[in-house]
Amino acid sequence: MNFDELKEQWNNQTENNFEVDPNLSHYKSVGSILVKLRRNIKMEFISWLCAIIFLLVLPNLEVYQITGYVKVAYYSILLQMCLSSMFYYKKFFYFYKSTKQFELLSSRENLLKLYYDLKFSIETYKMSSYLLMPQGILICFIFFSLGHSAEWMDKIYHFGETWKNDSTFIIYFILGIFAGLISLVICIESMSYYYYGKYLKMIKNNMDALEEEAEL
Amino acid sequence: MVKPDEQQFLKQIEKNKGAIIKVSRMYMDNLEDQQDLFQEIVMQLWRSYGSFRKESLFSTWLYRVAINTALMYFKKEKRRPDQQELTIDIDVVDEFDNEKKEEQLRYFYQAVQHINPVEKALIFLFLEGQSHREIAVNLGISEVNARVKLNRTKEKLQQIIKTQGYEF
Repeated sequence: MNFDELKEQWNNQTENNFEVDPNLSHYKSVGSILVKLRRNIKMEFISWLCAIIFLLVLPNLEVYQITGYVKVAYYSILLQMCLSSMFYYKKFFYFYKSTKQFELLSSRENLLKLYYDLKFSIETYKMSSYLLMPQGILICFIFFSLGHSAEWMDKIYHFGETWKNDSTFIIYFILGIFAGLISLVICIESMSYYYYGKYLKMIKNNMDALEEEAEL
Repeated sequence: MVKPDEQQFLKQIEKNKGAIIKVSRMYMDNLEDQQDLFQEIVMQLWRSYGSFRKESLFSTWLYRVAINTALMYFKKEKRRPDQQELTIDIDVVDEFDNEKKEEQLRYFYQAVQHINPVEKALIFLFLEGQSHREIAVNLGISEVNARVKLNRTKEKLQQIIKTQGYEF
């Protein structure tokens, strides 16, 4: 057999098991990368909304005792986090919309467009998340101090004195910050990969396969 | 009630559904996944029907949309892995009887599961009778690149088929 022979059989294939449903509204997308990405953007936005609502309610729970100027600081940080998050959600919203608009491009152009749109959105997402890390740490600080944040801040402000009298506090504090930073980095990297990065890699593999090859 | 546009579209799809089936069979190795991809392509074609310019052939436009859809499609994880040994008991085989002429096609479809999505696109367009130039335009690469890649893919496929003891 050769490819010319194969062409003949190629044109005479059976068409069993494949029916066209006349009701076009019955068609559902199940395996497209774009649908998965759109679903993830939507899901992540909903999770983000839930987290913000939770953080808004948090100071009102008695157990955390977030009151007075700490409460003001807490809400100011939260507001700043919300505004900064809008920056990357704006990019994702653009990407979300662009994946729904169909353009008749060649495969390479189509892959390139999607790749760079998605890459730009992911980079904005990561950059914004890293920039929000200090605010995140501060929120965690207020959250875990259970009403002692003013006292703890005072201890940190008088670092030398605290180190002499209560070095355990300083050690725990530094370890806490360190653990918080590591968990945030892991969280940002794994979330961006799980939600978007792995699909970017799939697109990149196809793009690479279209690259120019040297003639032998 | 089916709209006139829908009717026209469905008529065209029915006429050209062979090409969509071929793409689905090339990109997915089991019937369930093939039917899902078939559905995905028809849906994408319907969504983009507005971009179809009547002066060009429906089949030409269909190739581009179908290939672009297949390149952005992934196999469901719960189903079987992408790469598998060439055995005759996979679902692709079930659709063909054991006649000699269909055996060749069966070996071909099994071998195709071992090449990458871009190589599948090249072989599909070649078998659909597209010239190097048309393949290049559809994929957005140079004509020379299309020719080089196509020849390498053909060699690769022949090698895969030969390793299974079938003369190609």
